[in-house]
Amino acid sequence: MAFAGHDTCEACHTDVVDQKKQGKHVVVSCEACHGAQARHADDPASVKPAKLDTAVVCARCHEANSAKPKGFPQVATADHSGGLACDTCHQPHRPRIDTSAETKSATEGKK
Amino acid sequence: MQIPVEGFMYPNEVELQWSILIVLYPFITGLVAGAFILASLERVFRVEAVKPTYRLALLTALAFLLVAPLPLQLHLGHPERSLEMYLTPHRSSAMAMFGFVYLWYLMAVLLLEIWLEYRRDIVLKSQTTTGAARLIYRVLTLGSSNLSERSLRIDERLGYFITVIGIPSAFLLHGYVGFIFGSIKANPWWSSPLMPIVFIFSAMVSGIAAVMLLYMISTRLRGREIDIRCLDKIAQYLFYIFVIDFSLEMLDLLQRIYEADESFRSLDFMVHTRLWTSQVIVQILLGTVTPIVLLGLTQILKLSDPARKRIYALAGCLTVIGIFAMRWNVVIGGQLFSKSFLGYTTYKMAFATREGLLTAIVLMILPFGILWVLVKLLPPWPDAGSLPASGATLAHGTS
Amino acid sequence: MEITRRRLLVLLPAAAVAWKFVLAGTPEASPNYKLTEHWWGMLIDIPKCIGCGGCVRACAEENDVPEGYYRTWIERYHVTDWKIEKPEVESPNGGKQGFPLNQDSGGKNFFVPKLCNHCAESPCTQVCPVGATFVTPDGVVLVDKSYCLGCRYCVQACPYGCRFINPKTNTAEKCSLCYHRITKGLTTACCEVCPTGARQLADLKNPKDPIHEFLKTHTVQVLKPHMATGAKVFYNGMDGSVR
Repeated sequence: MAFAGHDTCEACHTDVVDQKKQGKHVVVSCEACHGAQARHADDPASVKPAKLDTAVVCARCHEANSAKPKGFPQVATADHSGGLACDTCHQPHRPRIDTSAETKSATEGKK
Repeated sequence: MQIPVEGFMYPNEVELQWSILIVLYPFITGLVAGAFILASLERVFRVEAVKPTYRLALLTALAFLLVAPLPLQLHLGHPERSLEMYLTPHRSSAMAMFGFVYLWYLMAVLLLEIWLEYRRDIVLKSQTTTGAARLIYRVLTLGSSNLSERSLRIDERLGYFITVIGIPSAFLLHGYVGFIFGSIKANPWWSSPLMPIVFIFSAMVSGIAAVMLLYMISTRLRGREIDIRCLDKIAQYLFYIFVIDFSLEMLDLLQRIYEADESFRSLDFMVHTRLWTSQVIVQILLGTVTPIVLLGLTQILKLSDPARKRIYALAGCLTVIGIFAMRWNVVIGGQLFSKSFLGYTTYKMAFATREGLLTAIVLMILPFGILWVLVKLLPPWPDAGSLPASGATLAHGTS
Repeated sequence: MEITRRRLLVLLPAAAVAWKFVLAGTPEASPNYKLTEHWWGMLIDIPKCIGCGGCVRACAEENDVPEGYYRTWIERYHVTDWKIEKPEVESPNGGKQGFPLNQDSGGKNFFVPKLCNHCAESPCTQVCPVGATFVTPDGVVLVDKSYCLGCRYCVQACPYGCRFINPKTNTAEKCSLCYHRITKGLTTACCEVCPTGARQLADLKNPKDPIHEFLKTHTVQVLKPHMATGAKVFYNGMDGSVR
């Protein structure tokens, strides 16, 4: 078995669960982005999940495509962030950005 | 090996499942069934004229039947497990039940009939030959040594009875192969109640043509005179059965074109492109229409003996090639189009692999090698030199 | 006991049969799972599928699916105007790495995930010569790869193209509905990672299953209903162009 199932992740990572509950990603299971983590769940101390490259992981779902449902949040990443990594502005566990000030401070000086 | 795909195919459909070996299999069992039907013409229907080919037809059937399981074994992912089909068959599977039909036909029909037909010769040979040959013939007698009039008459009666059972068994043998394809509702190229019937009739055509050719070639090789009356009769039966076979195939085609259901557009495109050469040119024009016309000419016109022999030889060759093409078009054709009806793939046939062209060629040559051994062991020639006149052959004509 | 020829003739076959059992081992126990309490199916909600390919990747990882073969895959449809009998369909590498941007965005565009439909009257189990593929009492079509001959008859008989021959084992293979997971109370790998809930496992014998409820109140279809296979993968919001 490669995938642990989100119930297993949520048993330990309660802080992330609380964060996710505040946003749209509450319905997205942990391993959808983090990949199969059964080995980590069996031995959390020695097996650590790899750090994700948001440019790849986020684009898989959110890169604009005409076949995606119209209401689904999608952007043409090249225009949207001008090459910046998604987690520059967005927190993946709670992706909504509340104020334009947050965005401004995060992107200041970067282009 | 990148396989070129046109349009859309379900991702798992791109690679063909059944190769040229599975084309060979119905071709070979077809020859068996057809050869046996020719033999039964003499034995059961008393068509005297074809007697010279009786024994040869039986041996031909046996030679091909022994080779028939080989392409299947070579094709399986796990041939070592194939015995499970006999030990733990799944009764709803046509393929599993066919294994028993094959076994029945081989043991209870063909081998028994050949043994009964040759028993007198085998016993005589076991008494007159020496050395290794004597041992072989003694084993073949299966312990029997009785050559009284009564025992020979029993041979005759039993043989007749087995041939009578053998005719529907031969139809079952090859009709079942047709059913294996025809019962697959997922594949519109195969799924048809006509499939077993078409297979049976094309089998008869190919088997009769093959025995006719083998008779002509072997008689020539032995430097003997070909019995032209025999050939004429065989050709006549070939002609009539061919007309029925052609009508059945055309009926299927015409109905498909007229009804034009969901699959039709896709299948039509496939025939016009990927199957054009093998279906329209080789199978229909060269392999069916031409032999029918040629044979028809011999029925209508009064042609000289040498002319007729040449036409029969040509028609026979074209027929056998045409029926092979038919098997190709059914098996390979059925896998070239997508079940989404939106695309087509290509058959990439390898050469020197387990399921490649070379293997197929070897498997086609093998039955002739076996036939050569059988002919040496059990001479089928009506004018076989060293043996006294066979009481059994005389009995055929009288009882 | 004296070893006579007769005794040996009886003992040896008996020993061979017993040895086969020893070699087969004991199946993994799932004590809380009652076969007769479940009847598995799946719901695919087409308007929710974003074609991210997560399901294809997860399935491949969970079930060791070889490259170039697919236990599940995604198709992208492009339907122009009213021409539902002539859609343009593509499935690059089964949708495993998602889909490239398509330039022509006129007409209808949508994704259709596909998998084994775990048919209640499956044509593939009907044709298997040795019964290596079978339907479980809880409605899952499985393949016993220790028994399969690799004859490919089942691959030919499946109307949906969901079967293939695994080149490593030379046996037939297809979606197993993650049987090793669902019998332990988990969901399938594909449903686990689907970010939008476009794929959801359904237990059609469980009256409290929300998907079961969904099926009763929404317009759903199965693929190729004219084949009468008793398919148990239900598609919500499926266009008539889907093949």
